[in-house]
Amino acid sequence: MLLKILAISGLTLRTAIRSRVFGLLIAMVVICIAGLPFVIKSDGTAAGQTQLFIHYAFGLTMTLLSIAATWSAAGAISLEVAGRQMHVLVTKPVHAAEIWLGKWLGLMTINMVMLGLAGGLIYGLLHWNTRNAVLSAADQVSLREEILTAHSLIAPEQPIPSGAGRTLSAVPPGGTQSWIFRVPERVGPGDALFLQFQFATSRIERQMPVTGLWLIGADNSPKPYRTLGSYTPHVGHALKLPPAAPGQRLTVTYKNVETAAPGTPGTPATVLFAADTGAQLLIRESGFESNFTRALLLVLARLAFFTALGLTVGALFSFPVAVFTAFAFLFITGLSGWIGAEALMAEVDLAPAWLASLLNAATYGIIQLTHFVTPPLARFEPLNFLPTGAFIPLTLVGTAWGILALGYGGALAVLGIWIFSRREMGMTTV
Amino acid sequence: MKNLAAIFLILAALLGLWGAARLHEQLWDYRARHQLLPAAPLENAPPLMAFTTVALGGFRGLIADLLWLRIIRLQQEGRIFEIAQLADWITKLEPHFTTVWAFQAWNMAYNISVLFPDAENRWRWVNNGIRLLRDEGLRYNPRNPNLYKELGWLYQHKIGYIMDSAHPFYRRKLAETMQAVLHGARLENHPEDTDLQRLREELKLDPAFMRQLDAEYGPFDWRLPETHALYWAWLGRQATPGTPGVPGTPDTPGVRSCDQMMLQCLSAAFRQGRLDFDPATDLYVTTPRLDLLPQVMKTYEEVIARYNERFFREIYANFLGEAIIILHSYGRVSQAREIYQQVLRRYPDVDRTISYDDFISANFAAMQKNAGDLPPPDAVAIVEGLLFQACRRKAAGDLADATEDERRARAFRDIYMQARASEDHRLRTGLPELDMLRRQAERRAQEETNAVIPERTAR
Repeated sequence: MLLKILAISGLTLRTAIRSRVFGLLIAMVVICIAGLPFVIKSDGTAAGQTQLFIHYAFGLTMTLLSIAATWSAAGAISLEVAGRQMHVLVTKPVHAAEIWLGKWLGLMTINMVMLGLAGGLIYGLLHWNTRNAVLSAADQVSLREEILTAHSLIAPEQPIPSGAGRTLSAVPPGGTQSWIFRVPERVGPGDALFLQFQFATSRIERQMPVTGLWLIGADNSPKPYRTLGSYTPHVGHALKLPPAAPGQRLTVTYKNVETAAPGTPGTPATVLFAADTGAQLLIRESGFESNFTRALLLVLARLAFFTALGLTVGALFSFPVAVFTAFAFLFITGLSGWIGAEALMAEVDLAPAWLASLLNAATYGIIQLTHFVTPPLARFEPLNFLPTGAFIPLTLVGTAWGILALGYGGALAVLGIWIFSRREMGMTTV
Repeated sequence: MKNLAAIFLILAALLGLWGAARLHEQLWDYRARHQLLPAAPLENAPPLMAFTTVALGGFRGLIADLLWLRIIRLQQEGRIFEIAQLADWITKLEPHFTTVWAFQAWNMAYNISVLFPDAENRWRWVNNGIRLLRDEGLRYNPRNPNLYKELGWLYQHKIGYIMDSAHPFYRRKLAETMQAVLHGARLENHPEDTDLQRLREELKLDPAFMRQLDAEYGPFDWRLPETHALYWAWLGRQATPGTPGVPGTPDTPGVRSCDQMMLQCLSAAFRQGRLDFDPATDLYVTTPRLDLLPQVMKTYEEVIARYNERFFREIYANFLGEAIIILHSYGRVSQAREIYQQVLRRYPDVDRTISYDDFISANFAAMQKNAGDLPPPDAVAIVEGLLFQACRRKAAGDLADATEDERRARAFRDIYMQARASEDHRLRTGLPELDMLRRQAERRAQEETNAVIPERTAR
């Protein structure tokens, strides 16, 4: 059986390479990614440019390859049926499952090659755009520590207060708030450590920066590290900490040093930290390269699903219908996360009320149904991680493959094989 | 039979085409009446953009909406690296929708800039907003006065006004840029070609228009944000949708706002149009340009005559009141009295029982009482004015009065600064050190002496 699958996958691969579509796709991916740095418009910083390039290059690769995977898979069976090449194949002692899996394997090999090519190109361009001649040494260090890395957040050891009334920790003028963190054993000796924090203030009328003093003390250090700064509310800040040994306990204290006289503009603000995410330790988990590879594996998992989708609808319909159906599903899947988030925020407000409630219920029902039918692509979105240097755990990659490739892909495979095995090949076609 | 059917179908198609052609005119008129026509073809647009705007048709709005929602979400999440790109796309999708340009530029300059605690990063976003309007918005909408006004507002309010604690940094950055190009306060008579090229291409300032503006209303210090705001407002009131080169009428949308901005900027130029700037020592002090007063008053008179509105008459009265105080501070009492008489003649509602001296005393007392709300340019004018008088009295040998003026200047500055207890308030509205203002006053006194002596010699 394996030999038959491999033989069919080889045939699929050969057909794809011979076709112009493969060459065209390579050209399109190369041109789009290579041309991207010339057309994107960032905020003007090295970090912004790098983040934007990663975001758009990766997004573009995912979009192009998803479309290409769906398109080629939709045609892999349906076009061969229309061209009667499939008739030669099905008259041989080959099971429908072997044909379906062979096609899927062949197409996935193409996907892997294309993804490898695109990934290599993105990585190469990233290095080219951040080389010594382009960026200053300080910018390069900052990029390596903040964006071209993979970091994760560590919550403080103190128990997080529970209950509606203790979701915020208030630090009045002159007051302090402390958190205790343990530096994980996996942190390397030279790894940069950051304190990530975000806060709101009692001064809601203006988003003025607030002056605060951070005191960071380690177990065995007699004198805490001090840094006085001015920080804008509602924005994530990252404060670089002095090196700390793995396993060390860090006591992080924020002191509100606002001292303005009452009654004047700039009245001292009370600072409000969210109890769970107000202050967290940002540690390096791995290098950018391994995170990048895991991001590519997440993309490959969704390509596995789209290939299965294309093959199944190709087994059922003629090529144009199959392409239309597969693209419609792809479009809905791509938008389902966004529609769910945005549409649920807004409610229809109409008179009469019964019509409004009916429309709201219908909208809600459609969104729930869409969520149920479509795979949870947003959960495995590499763009949520890679551009900001957030760590992609291997467990997430495994879950993505389990849900997208094995779960949804497997279900589509069973359906596709069953449909294909029952399809009448001898019907007259015009 | 088959041919007959074909003929029938062809005739039906022709009839349908004829009917569509007849209805086309009516539909076009209907769409025009309801403002549903596509925008006028883009001017100066690159081919790809022109193609996109035509090819996407009505879907442009939908895509722009989606991108706009994304901007809102990213901004809420503090992920701003993509915002400049999204704003660029939105404005390109709706290039004639000037509100979109204005909003996106304002969002960058006002909302995103303040997300950063450091002035350098803030300035980058203020600049991004300015560039979006100046380099691109005006390129596609060269005859929209509102867009000029919005650009002027970024210079006048975001850079020039005290709302942002980083505004001193913005002012210095602008001054540095302009000084590097102009090598001084204004355009030289024979500038280098490279400087002219930078003015035109990088800063989008037309040297011919700069000279014209200087000749009509100035000359101005081009390192000041108010001068830039004035330039764009002045261009805006001429860049109206009608015939190119023909200034708009008061009814033309946006022209009134441009006129209003011009008055504000000219008033600001009188109040703080003299700049002493040295990037090496971080010196940046603005003081009044008393010589600009006749041009400013003339412009007010023209605008009042053009609009005949109470609003403009009232803001003129306020300006004249402010001018009287400033002139008095610099010892130009006869000129101040003359303007006071002019106010009495012109505004019948003004209480005529109040004498000039009472007016001055009441205003000085009110300014000291409400020092917390006093605008910094007015406070600078009063302190420098008193120090200027002290210099002149000292030169004339009147040491007692000179000392008294010095004491009053110091006391006024102390009261003003004591009303600013918080660091933020001091950063935004604080006055320069007294010694620095004294040097300004001495230089001003020296210049006036130099200007007067040759005149006397000539007589």
